[in-house]
Amino acid sequence: MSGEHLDDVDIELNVYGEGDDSEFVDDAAESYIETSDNAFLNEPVKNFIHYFYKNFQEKNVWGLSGLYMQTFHKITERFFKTSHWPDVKLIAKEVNNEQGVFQYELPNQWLYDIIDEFIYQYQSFQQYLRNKKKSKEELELLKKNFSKISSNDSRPCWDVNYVLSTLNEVVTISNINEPLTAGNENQDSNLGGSEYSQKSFYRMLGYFSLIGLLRLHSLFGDYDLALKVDTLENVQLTKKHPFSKLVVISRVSTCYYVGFSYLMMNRFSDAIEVFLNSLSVISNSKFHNKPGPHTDAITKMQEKIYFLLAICVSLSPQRIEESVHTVMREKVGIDVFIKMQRGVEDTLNDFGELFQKSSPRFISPVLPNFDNFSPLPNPGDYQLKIFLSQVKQHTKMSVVRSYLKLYTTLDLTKLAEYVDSSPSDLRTLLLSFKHKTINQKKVGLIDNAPTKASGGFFDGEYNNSLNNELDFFIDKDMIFINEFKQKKNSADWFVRHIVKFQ
Amino acid sequence: MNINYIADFEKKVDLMLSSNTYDRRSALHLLKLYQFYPEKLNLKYIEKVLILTLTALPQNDFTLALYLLNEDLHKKEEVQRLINLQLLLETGNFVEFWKELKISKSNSSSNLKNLDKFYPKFNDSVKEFIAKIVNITFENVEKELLKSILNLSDDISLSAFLRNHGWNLNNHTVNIPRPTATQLKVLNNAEGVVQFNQLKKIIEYSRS
Repeated sequence: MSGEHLDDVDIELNVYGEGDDSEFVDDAAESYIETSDNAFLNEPVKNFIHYFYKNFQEKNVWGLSGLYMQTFHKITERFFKTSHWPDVKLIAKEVNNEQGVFQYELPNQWLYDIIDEFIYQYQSFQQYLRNKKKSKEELELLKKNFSKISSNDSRPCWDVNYVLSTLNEVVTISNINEPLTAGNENQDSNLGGSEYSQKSFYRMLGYFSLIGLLRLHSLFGDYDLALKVDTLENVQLTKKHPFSKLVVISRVSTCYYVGFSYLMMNRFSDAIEVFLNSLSVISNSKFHNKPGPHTDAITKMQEKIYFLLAICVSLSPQRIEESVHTVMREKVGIDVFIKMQRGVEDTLNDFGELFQKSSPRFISPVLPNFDNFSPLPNPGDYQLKIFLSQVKQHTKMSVVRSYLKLYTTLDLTKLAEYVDSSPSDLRTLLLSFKHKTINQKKVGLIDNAPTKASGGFFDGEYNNSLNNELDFFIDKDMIFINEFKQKKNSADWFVRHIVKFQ
Repeated sequence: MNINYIADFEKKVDLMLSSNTYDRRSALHLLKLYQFYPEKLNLKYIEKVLILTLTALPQNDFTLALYLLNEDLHKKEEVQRLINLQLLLETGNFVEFWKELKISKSNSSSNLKNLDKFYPKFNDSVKEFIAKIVNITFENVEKELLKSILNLSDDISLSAFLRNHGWNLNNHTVNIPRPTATQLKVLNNAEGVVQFNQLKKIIEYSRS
């Protein structure tokens, strides 16, 4: 059964995989061959397809990788900017329409893209279902399609369970868990597993499917499950891991979804750590690689991560690197950022805007009523609403926090006067302050592997105020405040600059 | 994500309530099943799951559960009532919380009136959470205030509670001993320490 799935995927491959060497492109720019049925299959593309197929047959992974990443991009820009790639049939003619992929190796980037596109298409389809008004024929077609669920022969396309089960199956078949666990415990990750798991093709596909599941669950709003996806626990975020090294966008994407899930779970310290890690990944990759096929996507994701980081830092003030802090402030807009930090009343709109700009496109698994169609509400709006109610609670604390920073001891009634509330209200607020700031923090999130023993991404110890710079206790009517300030080693800084300027 | 599992998960939730055990994943999974198969939705069970998550505080499972619902469910009276209770707990409004709970229980149209029957340990669980927060917030607190926060009506139950938590009563003030690690201390980084080598360079320059 799985073979069938992969065959479907195979057809997709034939459509995507083109590329050409630049020489071909330049030479043949003039000679545009137009045959009667191969309408847009011109010379360079043809040459490319043959060359590509040769590589494919010879399992020349590196060749494929180069072709896919670079020249595909060039060709697409040059010739197919507006129109789609030619029909798969035309291309299949060129390559003798071979099936049976199991023997071949494919570059990792490509595998990632397959999974990515798969989910993206599902996402788009769901949104299409919910949105526009549809003509009667469309409704009929959709209805017919989905009523196939009752008949047992074929599942309709884009049935939510189908999507989920495909991803799960790939994970199981590839038996990705064992090598990951083994890799984390520093054992030989090539041991064991079935014949399938030996092939790097399946392994990588399995690995990317794990990431796909993470993403899918986040899109449904189930952040808990997203982080617990089977052995996503074993997915490591650091450089040292052999699997994720090559495909930058997969690491960035993983960090984005993990961080986003943490944010929605109010685990701000963890979210901030993950986001910072991803930003360093992005800047490293830009440094080393020339622009690849995913530069746009990575840039967009980078911006989203900055927005989310701004939200996290406003809700749970922590020190972060100066350079990151500056860029983040610029991206968000310095005024907006200051407003968010101060937690004034109307800042909820700002939070809302940032959230909408940076959150993924949420979907809901429910099908609309095909007989009586009306556009369904956008699930993203609901997520936003809940999120803002959380934000509201946090912003109340910002004012009090700024006062607490100024004192070491403070009378409760005095502070109540400052913030314009009664002592009992204030006491209530301080209780909630304490509740909000016992952050659950995963120890060693980035540096060490979250092994099964340490509970994966989800658990973490309660870390009382170690990341927060402010701590206090209430003794009857007095508040005793303790501020852990990381004092900059200013003497050192001065000395260094003196020497520089001499 | 099989529709047939819904009945099993509903039974699981009932079990969790009666035996005071809690498994986050099972509870949330029921909500997820409802999300996928809204025709099988049972509002009573949604309420039950939300109540379970309330007692998981300080973990914010309740919010996670909310994310799995949708706009229509959110508007329902039963859900709103629980959201209100959760808000009171999260904002430290414990005295108000107990009041609201009493009102909800006496309201005949609400499912909460049977709360003691299907979830006997609810009050205790919430008290534990409140005690945790009080523990890290107060060093000394007035007896009467503490009683109202914890919904302890008389001194006897208060003394029992204090004994369980290792808190002490002095006259009218309850003293909560602080663990020594979190005693107030000033963190002193090596701030003004200048290395001799660095100084050497500066002196050299100033001499020339």
